[in-house]
Amino acid sequence: MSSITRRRFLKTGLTTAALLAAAPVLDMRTWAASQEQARVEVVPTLCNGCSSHCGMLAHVKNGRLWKITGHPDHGRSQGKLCARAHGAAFWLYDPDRLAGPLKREGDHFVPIDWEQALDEIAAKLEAVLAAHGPGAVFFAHNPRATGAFYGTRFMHALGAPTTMTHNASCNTSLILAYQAVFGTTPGADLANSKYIMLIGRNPAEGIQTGYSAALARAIEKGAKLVVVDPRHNASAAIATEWVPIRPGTDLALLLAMMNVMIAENLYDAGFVAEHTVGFEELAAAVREYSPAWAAPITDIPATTIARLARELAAARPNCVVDPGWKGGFGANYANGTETARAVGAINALLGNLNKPGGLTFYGAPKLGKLPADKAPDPPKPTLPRGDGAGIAGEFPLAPTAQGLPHVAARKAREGKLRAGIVRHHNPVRNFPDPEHMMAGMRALDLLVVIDTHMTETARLAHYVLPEPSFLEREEVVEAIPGRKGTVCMRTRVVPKLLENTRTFDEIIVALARRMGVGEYFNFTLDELNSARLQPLGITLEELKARGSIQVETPVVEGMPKLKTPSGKVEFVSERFAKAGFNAVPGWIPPRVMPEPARPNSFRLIHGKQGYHSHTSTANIPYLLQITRDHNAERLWMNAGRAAALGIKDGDLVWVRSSLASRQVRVKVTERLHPEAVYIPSGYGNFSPGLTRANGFGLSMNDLVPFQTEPMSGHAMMMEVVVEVEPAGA
Amino acid sequence: MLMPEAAILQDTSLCIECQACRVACQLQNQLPPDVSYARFQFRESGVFPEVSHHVARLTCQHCADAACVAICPTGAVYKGEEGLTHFDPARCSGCGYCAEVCPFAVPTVKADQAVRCAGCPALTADGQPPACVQTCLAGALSYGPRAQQLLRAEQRVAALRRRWPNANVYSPGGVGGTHLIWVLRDSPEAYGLPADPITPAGIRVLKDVVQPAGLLSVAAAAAISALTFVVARRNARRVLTEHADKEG
Repeated sequence: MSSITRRRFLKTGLTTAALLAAAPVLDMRTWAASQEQARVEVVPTLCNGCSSHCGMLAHVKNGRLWKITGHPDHGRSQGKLCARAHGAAFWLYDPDRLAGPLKREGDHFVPIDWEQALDEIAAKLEAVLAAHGPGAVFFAHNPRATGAFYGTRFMHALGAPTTMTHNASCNTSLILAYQAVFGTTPGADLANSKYIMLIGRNPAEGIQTGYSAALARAIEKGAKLVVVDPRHNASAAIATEWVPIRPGTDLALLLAMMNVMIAENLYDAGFVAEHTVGFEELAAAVREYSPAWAAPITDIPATTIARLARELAAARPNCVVDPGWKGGFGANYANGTETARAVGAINALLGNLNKPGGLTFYGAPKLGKLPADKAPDPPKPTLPRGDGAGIAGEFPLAPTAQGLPHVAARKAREGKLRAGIVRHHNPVRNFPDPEHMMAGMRALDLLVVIDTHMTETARLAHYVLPEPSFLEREEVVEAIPGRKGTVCMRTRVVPKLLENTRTFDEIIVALARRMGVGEYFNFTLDELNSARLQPLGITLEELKARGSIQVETPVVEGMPKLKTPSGKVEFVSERFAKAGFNAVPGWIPPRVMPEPARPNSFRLIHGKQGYHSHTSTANIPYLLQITRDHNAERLWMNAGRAAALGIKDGDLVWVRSSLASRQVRVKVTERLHPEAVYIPSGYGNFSPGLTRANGFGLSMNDLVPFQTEPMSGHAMMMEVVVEVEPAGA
Repeated sequence: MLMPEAAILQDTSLCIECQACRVACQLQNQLPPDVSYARFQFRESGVFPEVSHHVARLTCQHCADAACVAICPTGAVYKGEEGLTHFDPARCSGCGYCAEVCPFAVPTVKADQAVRCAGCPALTADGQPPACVQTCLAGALSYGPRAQQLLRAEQRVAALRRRWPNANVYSPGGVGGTHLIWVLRDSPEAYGLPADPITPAGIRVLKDVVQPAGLLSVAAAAAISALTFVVARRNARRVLTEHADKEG
C-alpha cells in the first residue's frame, strides 16, 4: 500500500460491510463478521507506547476506539506494531486519567479551575524569576517535537537556559561519544548486514519496531548474529552465538578486538588512511590490550575474543558492532562514554560507514520554520545552565541538548534551581535514588507537572495540569530520519473525552501570554505545522488525512560528511583531552565490583521487556497481565549461584544495596552470568494514582545511589552491588 | 468466493517473544486483559554458558481434521473456507469438549466460555491475515497459500539445520495436517509440543456418520469413548511434560 487516506479507508470499510451484509445469514462466520459491519473509521496517528512514536492506524467503531494497526507509510512501524502500541489504546479509557487541574494544599490536591491555576503559576514563576533570575528555572520532558518546540521556546522566551530530557538515564554516553568520533549519532543497517555484533543492545526487547524487524530480516537472510551480554536475552535466544560477558567490561572486549585487528592488519587500511585522524595514537593505545589481557577482565576466553575480531574483520565492510542504546554503555557504567567511543572506533576500523550492513548516517526530512518577520525566535539564553551540563568544573562534556535531571535534583536541594515545569516525564521514578529525586522536587518553590496521569513526579507538584491522552490531541509535525524519511504527526482520533483537559501547546501559550512573552507565540498550532511542512510541498490537510508520509531524503553514497572538527572520523579527541580525559579510548574499570569472596554479592543489572516502556506502561492492564501471566517481574539469578545460596525458583529474597533493602521473587536460570542479578526495568511504581501498577514489582532505582559518570554526567545505573539472601516463604 | 487453502507459518527461529500478537488479538476480539487466545510456553535447556531458550506461541493449530469442530455441539467451532478453524463465542455454551479433545491441549474454559483462537474470520474472509500475523514485527508469523507456506517452511528448516541439526517442519499428519505450520529449531518435545498428536477415530465417526444420521445415543457413546481416550492421553502427557515445564 503506497499511500492511504482516511477517506479511502472509510470507504473500504463500508464496502466490506455491505458485502458481508449481503452474505447468507446462515454462514457461521456471520457473528464475527457482524462485528466488522459496524461503521469503522480508520484514523492515522502516532503511537505513545514509547518514545519512538511509530505510525499507527486507529480503528474507531461506533465512535469508540476498537483496535490499532501499524501505519504502512511510517519508517518505524512499516505496518507493524509492538504490544505496547496495542496496549496504549487503553490509555484513552483509563479511569486513572487526570480529569482536571489540581493544586497542592498541604499534603493533598484540590481541584482548581484552569484560569486560576494558570494565573497562580504565572505569578509564582514571575516571583522566582524576580528573586533568582531565569537560571533558576527549568523545563524537563521526554524529548519529542511538541515539547521540544513549545517547552524550549517558552524557556528561551523567559531567558531560562535549562531544558532537560530523560536521556541521562538512557543514552547520553553514546550521544557524547559519537559526537566526538563521528560528529553525530549513527544508526545501523541491520537488515543488510552479514555479521552483527550486539553489545548490550537487545532489539528483541528494547523494541523500536523497524529496528527489531530489521534484526529479524538479517537473521532470516543468514547473517551471523553475536550477542555479547551478561544475560541470554531474547535477542541472544535467536542469535547464532551468545557471548556472556562480565557486566561492565564491554570496553575491555572492544579494546582487545581492536588490538587483534590492528596487530594482524585486518582493519580497513584504505578507509583509515583516507577518512580518519588519530590512527597511530589509537594503535599505540590498544597495543597493551591483548586478548590475554582482556580475558580475565571480561570472563571471555582470549581465543574467543581473537576469533570474534577476525570474524568481524572478515565480514567487513558489511558488518557492524551495533551503536547501542542504553544497555551496555548508554547510562549504566563509569566507562559508558569510553565504551561508546571504542564502538565508534571499531566500526571505523571496519570501514563500514554508509556501507550496506554497516553504520548509517541518514538525514531526516528538513522541516520549515515560521517566518522570522511574523514570528521571531526568542534569543537563546546566555546564562549558564542550572544542571551542570556543559559547565567547566562540573560536566563540561555533558550534552546540553539532554541535560542532567539527577544533578538538577541536587541543585534544587542546594537552592540553586527554584522552579520547574515537567511534561510527560517522570524523573522521580526513572532516575536512581528516589529519596534524592523527591527531595529535589520538594525543595522547589514551584513544580508544575503536565501529564495524563498522577505519576510519582506529579504527586510532588504544586500544580498538576492534565493533558488529553495522545489519542485525543494534535501535536507538532515530526520528521523521522531513514533511507526514506518520514514526516508525520499526531491527529485527533476521537473527540476529547475529558473536557477539562488542555494540550501542552495550549498551556504554554496561555502561560506565555500571562508572563508578557506572548509575542513569541502569536500563531496557532496549525500555522506552525503548515510552516514546518512548507518546504516539503505537503499541505497540513494532506498530512492530517494520511498521518505519515514517506519522503525522499538526500542519500549520501559513500563516505558521509562528518561534523567533527577535522571532518573525518576522530579516533583522538582534543575536546576529551582538554577536559582531562583520555584523548583516545583506553581502559576504565567499572566503578564497583561484586565481592568474589561473598556468595551473596552480585552486580544488579536491568533491561527492558518488549511489552513495557520504563515505568509508563505497567499501569496498562493488557500489558501488566502479560507480566502477571509469566511472573516476568522476577529477579533473575544464575542457577549455580542460587543453589549455593539455597534459593529456589520463585523464592522471595531480600536485595540490599548501600541505599535500601527490597523484597522480590527470584527466577532461577542458566541464562545469566553468575556475577549478576537482573531485574526488568518496567516496574516499581509507587504512586497511588496508578492504581494497577502501584506497588507491583521492584525498580532498580530503589537500590542504585545518586551518582554521575565524569564524562557525560549520566546516572551510572548499573554501578551498584547488592547482597541477596532468602527472605523465607 | 472460493478461497485457496491458507496457512499461518510460525517460525520460532525469528520469534522475539514480544507479545504483540497477544495484545493485537485481544483488541481484535474485544477480550478483557486476563483472557488471551495466545499462550506462550518458554523452555530453557542447558547449563551456563551453553544454554538455549525456545519459545512456543501456543494457539489453535488449525488441524485439517479438527476434533474440536467435530465435537462442538453448538457449532461455535467451525471450519472456514480457507481452512482455518473459527470460533464464534456467541454460540459457545462453555461445555469444554473442545478443550478435552484438542490433541494440542490448546483451548481452556473460563467463565463458561471457551478461550480459543477465533481465526479472525472477518479478516480472512476479506483476504487479510489474522490480527496476530498482521502485527508480527519480527516476521515470525506469515499468512498465505498453504502449499507455499509449506515450501517456505522446508526452505527455512534447511537453512537452520547448519546451526540446529534437529530443525523440523511441524504440521503433524495425525490430525490431517495443520493450517498452522511451525518451523522448529529442535524437536517438538523441546517446545513442549506433542510429538505425534492424532485426531481420535471416534471423533471422525461422530462427525461423518453419527451426527448426520442423528443417532444421538450412539453419538453420546462415540463422544464418551473419544473423550476417555483423549483425557487419558492428556493425563499421561501432563505427567511427562510437567517436570520439564520450568517457566510455564
